[in-house]
Amino acid sequence: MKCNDRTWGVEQLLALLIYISGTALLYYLIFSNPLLLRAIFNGRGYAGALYVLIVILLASTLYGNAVSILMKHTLEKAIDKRVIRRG
Amino acid sequence: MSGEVRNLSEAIGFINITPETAVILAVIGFTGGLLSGFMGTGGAFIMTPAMMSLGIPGIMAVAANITHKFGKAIIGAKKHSEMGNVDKKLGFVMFAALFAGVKVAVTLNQGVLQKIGVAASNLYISLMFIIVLSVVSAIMISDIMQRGNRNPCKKSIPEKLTKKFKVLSLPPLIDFKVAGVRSSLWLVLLVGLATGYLAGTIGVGGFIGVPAMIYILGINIRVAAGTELFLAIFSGFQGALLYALNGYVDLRIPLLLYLGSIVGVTLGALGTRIVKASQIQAVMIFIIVLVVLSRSFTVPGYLVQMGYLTLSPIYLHYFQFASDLSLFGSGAVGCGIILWWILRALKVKSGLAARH
Repeated sequence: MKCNDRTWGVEQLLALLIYISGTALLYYLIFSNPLLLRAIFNGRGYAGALYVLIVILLASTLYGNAVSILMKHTLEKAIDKRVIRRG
Repeated sequence: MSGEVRNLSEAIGFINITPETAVILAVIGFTGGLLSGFMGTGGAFIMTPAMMSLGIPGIMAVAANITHKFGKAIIGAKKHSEMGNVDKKLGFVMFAALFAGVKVAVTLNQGVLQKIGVAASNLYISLMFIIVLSVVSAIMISDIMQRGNRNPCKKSIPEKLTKKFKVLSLPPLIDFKVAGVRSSLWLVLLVGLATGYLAGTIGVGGFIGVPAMIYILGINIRVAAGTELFLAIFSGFQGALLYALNGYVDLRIPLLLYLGSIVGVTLGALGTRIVKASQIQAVMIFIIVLVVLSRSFTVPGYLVQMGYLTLSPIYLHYFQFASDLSLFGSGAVGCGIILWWILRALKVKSGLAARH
């Protein structure tokens, strides 16, 4: 997807759908498995730390990209830097 | 990691998260994210105290924040990079010193918790907040007042600092093209070390990193904010790894913070495009001063818990109320101002479009 392409197309909509679904699935897996979470929390060590970092990376990437696509095609499009920037 | 610390972190335990707590954590995330994207400071200055006010122990609040910061920094730095606000060369040079700073901070935090206990750990983190934020706000206020007075004979504290550090510019000197400055390697490493230490201690690296880049290295506020977010990817990774290794990261907290913070950080970065640098600084000072007040009100409570002070429960309740009011008030007003500026900009845009 091109960075500055701010028009909605099938590609953008599909990417948004994938990111939102991925985010929902990840959050569901984490919050519906308290026993697994407790085991990781109490387990410590490199395996637990690695798990934490991987989940964090996945969450920020999936959800971050979903929000970024939405903003790019809505608010960012509406704010025209050349017209309103005064600083 | 000693067995004693392991027991302490087990005693701190797995936090009970109710639906209300989850919503509050997402709102805290949004507030921190919006202010972070707008000021490039990380957002921990408001999120860590807010989590502590919810009853989350200080070390876990710092751990949750630094873990959350790791992922959020990737998104924020990407956004700033698209706008040409990231000097990657500067970021990589600061990187080595930053790692050492985070390592020292995490070791110290664990040491305080292990030797003196949870109340002392909370007190240490709160005192670090008060000292760092007071110094930063004093420097920023002096800078703004000097610009207002426009007396050429009198130099502000930041100008004096910049001049002093320029005299100390020991070779080798390095050119940073995006930032548009030539600076001593030693100064850059010093800023990196201080940023890493504070990122690891209170989760607030940007509060020293951004002003230090502006006043010591002479970089403009937009590049300083963008580069600090780029740097936060590394300090966040290291801090998250070290705290997670010792079992201080409750994964659900950073995930709930993300729900609000990623929307906030994107909005905040957009906000920087429509306001003047002085407006960003004014919001920053207002919030910092209120956060200092908020943390100051919590000190008597920690001293009582440690047995150094005796106070009636009603006074402790008042102190806690004053702390929560100033903390959440600063976040609400700060976010309100930024969102109002964004809405006003959108109105101007639609007004201009209507006229054409």
